[in-house]
Amino acid sequence: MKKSQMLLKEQKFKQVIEQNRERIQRICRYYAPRDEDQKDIYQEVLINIWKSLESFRGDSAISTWIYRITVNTSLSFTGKELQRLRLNVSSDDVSLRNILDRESDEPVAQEREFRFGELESALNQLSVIDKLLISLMLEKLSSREIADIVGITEPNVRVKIHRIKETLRNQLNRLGHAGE
Amino acid sequence: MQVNNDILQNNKGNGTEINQLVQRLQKEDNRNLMTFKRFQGIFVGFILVYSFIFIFNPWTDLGLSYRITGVCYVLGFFLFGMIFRKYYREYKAINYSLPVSEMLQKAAERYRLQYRKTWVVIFPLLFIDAGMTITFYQRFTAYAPWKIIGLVQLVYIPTLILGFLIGVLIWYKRQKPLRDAAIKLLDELNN
Repeated sequence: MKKSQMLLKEQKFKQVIEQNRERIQRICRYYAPRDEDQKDIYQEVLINIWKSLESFRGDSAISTWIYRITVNTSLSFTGKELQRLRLNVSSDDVSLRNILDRESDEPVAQEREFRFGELESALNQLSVIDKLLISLMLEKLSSREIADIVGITEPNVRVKIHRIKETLRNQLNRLGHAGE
Repeated sequence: MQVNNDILQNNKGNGTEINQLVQRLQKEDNRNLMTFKRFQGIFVGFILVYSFIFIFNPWTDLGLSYRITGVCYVLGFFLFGMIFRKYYREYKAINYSLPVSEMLQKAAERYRLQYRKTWVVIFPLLFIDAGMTITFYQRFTAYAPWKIIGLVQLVYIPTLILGFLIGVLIWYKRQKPLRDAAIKLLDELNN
């Protein structure tokens, strides 16, 4: 590669990372509970962005491209342990409440913490693909964007998300009854 | 939200860390290229040395059988070099920016025990087998040809089978679980 091309690649890379750092870090956080693993995945994502930079033709939005690389790298990083993948969510995440479409009846802080534990437990009983879809929902992406990232049709994404919500509600109800 | 301060501190703001990372990435790219060139150099070296000593050698009065041996070895090394080049290119072409479903399909394909793709290795192996058999035949003229051929095959074929079995074992331990995981995810995606 010529020096001028290398310089251009370097500039483009820095710009892409600068604009998408938080996005990448959030996804890395969802898939890795441990700080060390988050750091490793983050580094791996940067390496894969660097490697793929020349192939970016602008056919999709840069954010979609970044999400694809981050999700693919995270899944590859987990490797053999994929089926044991845990979704690392935080009780402070405002998008988490929207997963169940219950924004109106927000519980008090103490109860919310309790419910968060249940929700976290229910989330981690989902399949890997469902966890992946949840992580993209937490990013407030539209069904269209999620479909572009995952590579399935938009109606399929909607059906899957509907099923996930149903499963989560049922599980939470069961957990709620068991706790009474 | 729980924040990974370490990551943020390491990559925030002034771009110094990004500069260091870019340098590391460039080094990594160069190292990969150098590894490829080194391997290619080894194959080219073998081809040149064997061509010179066994095929074109102008100083020694080499018999035709020696020159045929040389041709077999050179063809074997050449084909190995081509196969290595093909695999290296495939490895370099792994694209993480594909949609997840496509990425999983490609991973499942990549980690398959690839009988159909690896059968081409038979050609260089056959050339090297032929070269070795002719060499031994020339050295041990006291023995009957079928004995020489049998002896070479007795060592060569079990060695190849052992190599193949080690390869399958490595695939079973390292790559099969990845392929199984990719197929399971694809099933989940399609249901």
